[in-house]
Amino acid sequence: MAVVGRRVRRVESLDRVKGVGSFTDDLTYAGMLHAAVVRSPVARARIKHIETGRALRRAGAEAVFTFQDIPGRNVVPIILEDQPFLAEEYVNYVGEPIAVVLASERETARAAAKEVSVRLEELPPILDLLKARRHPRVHLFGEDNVFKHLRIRRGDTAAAFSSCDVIVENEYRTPYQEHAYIEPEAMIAIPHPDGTIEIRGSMQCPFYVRKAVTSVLGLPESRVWVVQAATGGAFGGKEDVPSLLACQVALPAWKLKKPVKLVYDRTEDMVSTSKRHPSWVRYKSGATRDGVLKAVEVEYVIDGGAYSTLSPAVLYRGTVHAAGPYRCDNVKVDSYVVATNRVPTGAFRGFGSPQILFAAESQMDQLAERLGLHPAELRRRNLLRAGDTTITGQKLTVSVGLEETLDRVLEASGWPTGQKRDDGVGYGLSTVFYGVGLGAAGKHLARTGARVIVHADGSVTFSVGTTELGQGMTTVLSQIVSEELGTPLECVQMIAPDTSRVPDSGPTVASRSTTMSGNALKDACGKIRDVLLAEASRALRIPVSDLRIVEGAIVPAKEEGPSMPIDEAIKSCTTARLPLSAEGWHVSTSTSWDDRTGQGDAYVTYAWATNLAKVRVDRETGEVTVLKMWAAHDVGKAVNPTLAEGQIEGGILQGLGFALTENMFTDERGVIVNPDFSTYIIPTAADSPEIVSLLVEHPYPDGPHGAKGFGEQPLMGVAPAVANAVRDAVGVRITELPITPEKIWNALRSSRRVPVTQR
Amino acid sequence: MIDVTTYIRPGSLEEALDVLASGEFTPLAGGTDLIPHARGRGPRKMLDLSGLSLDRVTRTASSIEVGACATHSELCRDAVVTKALPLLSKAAALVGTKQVRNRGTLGGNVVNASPCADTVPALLNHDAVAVLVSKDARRKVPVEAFITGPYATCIGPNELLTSIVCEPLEKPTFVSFLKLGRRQAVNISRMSLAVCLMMDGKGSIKGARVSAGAVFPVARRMREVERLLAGESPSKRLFAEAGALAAQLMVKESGVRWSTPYKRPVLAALLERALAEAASGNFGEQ
Ligand SMILES: Cc1cc2nc3c(=O)[nH]c(=O)nc-3n(C[C@H](O)[C@H](O)[C@H](O)COP(=O)(O)OP(=O)(O)OC[C@H]3O[C@@H](n4cnc5c(N)ncnc54)[C@H](O)[C@@H]3O)c2cc1C
Repeated sequence: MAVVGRRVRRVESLDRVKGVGSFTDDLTYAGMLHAAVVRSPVARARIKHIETGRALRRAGAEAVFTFQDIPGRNVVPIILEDQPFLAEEYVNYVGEPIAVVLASERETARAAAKEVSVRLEELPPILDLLKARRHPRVHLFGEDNVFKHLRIRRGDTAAAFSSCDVIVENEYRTPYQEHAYIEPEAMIAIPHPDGTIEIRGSMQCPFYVRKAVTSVLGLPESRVWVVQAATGGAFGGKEDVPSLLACQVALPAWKLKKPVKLVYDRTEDMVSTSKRHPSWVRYKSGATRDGVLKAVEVEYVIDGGAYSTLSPAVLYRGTVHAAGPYRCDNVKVDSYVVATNRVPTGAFRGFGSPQILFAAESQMDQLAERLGLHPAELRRRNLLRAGDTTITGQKLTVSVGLEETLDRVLEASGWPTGQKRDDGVGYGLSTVFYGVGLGAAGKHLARTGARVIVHADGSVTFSVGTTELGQGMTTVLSQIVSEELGTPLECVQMIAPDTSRVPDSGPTVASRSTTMSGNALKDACGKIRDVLLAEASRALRIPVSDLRIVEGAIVPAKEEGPSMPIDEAIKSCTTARLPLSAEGWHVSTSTSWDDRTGQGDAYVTYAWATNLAKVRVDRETGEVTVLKMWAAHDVGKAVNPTLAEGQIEGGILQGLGFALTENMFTDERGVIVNPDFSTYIIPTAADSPEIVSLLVEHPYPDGPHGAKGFGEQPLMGVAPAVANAVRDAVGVRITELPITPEKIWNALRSSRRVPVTQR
Repeated sequence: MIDVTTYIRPGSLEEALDVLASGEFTPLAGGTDLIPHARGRGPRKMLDLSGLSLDRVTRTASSIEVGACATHSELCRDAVVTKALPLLSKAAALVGTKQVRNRGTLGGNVVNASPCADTVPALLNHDAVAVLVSKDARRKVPVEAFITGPYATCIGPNELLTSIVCEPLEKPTFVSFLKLGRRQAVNISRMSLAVCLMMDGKGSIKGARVSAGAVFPVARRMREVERLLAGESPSKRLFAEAGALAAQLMVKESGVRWSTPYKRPVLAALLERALAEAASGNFGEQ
């Protein structure tokens, strides 16, 4: 039976249950010191003086480092290089790192960090994203505080609107979302006597970390070695932030010639690390009476915080996804990511798309309502099919399973049509899509490496440059290797991602690991297969072209005939001193983007999804209970259906947090008001509705076994589905997340559809 | 981090009270309030109560005595409590999560005296009395007087709360406990309501007990509402009136805050609902 497509258990599951696993804080090295970070207490100030004497006098304190001690460049290199590693003249957000304190114990380091006194001259902070854009006096970035402006120009929206029968125009807002991974950010640096430095930690992108450390220490890449430790969740929060932590441990480790560990505590993590960009959207859509989406105009502004980090790339994904998965000939999108004096925001599952899709899918339901069409029907009349062109002018050819996801959800849910009952129960739909991989914004990174070694005893190890974050990559890639080589899954072992084993493979983001590393592994395995098949061909006297690997044996492709177990082929190769090790490499098909018009092949392919939420709204308290969710996703090929369903369930729950309860905000001084789990409300298992996961497989020819990326998509359409369901249930439309009881209650109160008195 | 220098786990109440007499020790029950708050500047000397067998439930002729160290989970499954003090079981079942209920105790919930402590409104409805013991004294204080403010009680540094004595209500009494929060578990009450309706043979309300948590600075009985209900027969109008009165009381005592425009009508609606729920239990019986 094929291994790909099978519901095998995640390889780490048993260890996690038993508590086995080397997370960063479990690791210890002889002579190791602990670091703590001195941070800005204010949102914007000029640094006058940093006084370290008192901290150094504390027993156990070893050293304090500031920007003056940096041997290389004082930047965290991500995209625009505007973020200092340690603040020099200004601080620009609450929590910005100013100095690193070292001590023999963690508690001592933290106490000493509090004793470093930083004299600051406070300046008025800019906290509102709309005020920040083109602020007349304060220039945090460039002339207009805009890190990046992107546009899409397609057709003629003004003319198209004038021919529309209905036009819907609205503003939408979404707040921060915190990743809330179980394991906070953590990193260790170990300097070696040979002049190299080893970094181990919780991370998504070892190659980003390497780049940051080489830059701050002024070292060549050959001398910085980065290994991913077991990582307790990431969701995008460990894409760029670990670069900062790595520098915070690498600098003191390098200077003191001792290992250094740094683990953020939860509040420090919530205050100072990246989150989902808060957004403001103005959205105008128009359709003709027959339900054809004619024109879309969008202004999308997101809050990038004090430094640009990944914001330009986040904006790119948001922009491409601005109109949802529909055909539309007249589109005008202007999107901006602006600088404010708040914590830098960054990557989070969906990467700039959940915010804009909340707006886009809320708009679709309003159009349907105005047109008197069922929400599913309006979508069906506009959704993208093979042969259609996206709003960026990309022609879709294959693997476009959107309509099937819609059909599957409608069929599975039996969504009742007909007369609505006044019982506070409602249904809400969203159809969404996801550009797989980095797309044109990151095309220079769109390659991956892999290495596979088949050992003499038949066991196999492989290495890739992408990382396991809990999503199940190790399992899925092991299945692919097992399938390619015909070795049993139990004999396949992945080595922790390590920059010394494979060439720079880019980041583990954009739902790209299965496709990219899977393809690189197929490439490597193919080379080994060639050797094995040649050996078998010699022994069996059958031409290579007539041999296949099936279930652990090399067999003749057509007729009956002699076969050879894989083990034997391996032994035979070993005896013949043939190399059963190979490097694999994969480069994405090309993407393109014209900055002036926003036209081009934005992503290599797209994944598609339909979500349906069934909710009950309490008219008196405004509370929403999500009763059930149906989600169908076209993933190309589910290499492991159980893990794919796990992504759907987890993504839905995380999406429900974004939709209903997660509400992080800052006060008038720019201080985050709720950096803890008793006031920042994430859903629990008890909040999970019943979830029906439906997998649709329209194979992607360039993916391994037809697989596309898919880890982010399950979250992306949840909030609009819930908002649409709330509208269906009690007649109010909430345009600002989260949909709290207070907002519903207020809307009910001010709507003219005052709650009918209960019988 | 937690900076405990001395930890003692005595095996008898006597020994515990001796230790406590110094006034330097902080009692530790389940630790679910104490430990999270102990991060940073917490107590340095802890006295663990888990060896004192203070978790018993005993029934006397007229009252039920619940040991201070009975956990919420025990309150949910103890046969005496579930039968005679169903309101307390209902409240305990809504505390935190399974893990928290397995460790957190009734005594800890009361002594911590959070305005949103879930068992307190239930206790108030049962005229509960706190039994406080020190090396050389023993006193009984009604829970209503014991809690003096948000996170404040009249317990002395040398005293232990050993048990809480509750009066079961005469039959037939019908109860309901409602909690408003922001999620299904690990859910801090934004509002909690405990309602008891004592019915006479003719279907009228003989007496009522109504308490609210997280509504006033300190959880309290709403005797004004109880008086309104007494002697009346249950009706939608009566319950709506009761709700409106409760909302008025809240605004009068807690003042107007950012949440008031929402909380005022919601309190009214929830109390109406709690009363209706209790009353429907009544009709269900007949
Ligand atoms: C995740 C989480 C969720 C929670 N959810 C809820 C909730 O939904 N509802 C709710 O009401 N509470 C909740 N709590 C709070 C807490 O669990 C309860 O208040 C619990 O009942 C406290 O009991 P304990 O035994 O753990 O108290 P401890 O933490 O051991 O003690 C609390 C205080 O009481 C004192 N104390 C304890 N016992 C005695 C005694 N016998 N004599 C004298 N002093 C004593 C201690 O010195 C301390 O000051 C939650 C807590 C957590 C961590």
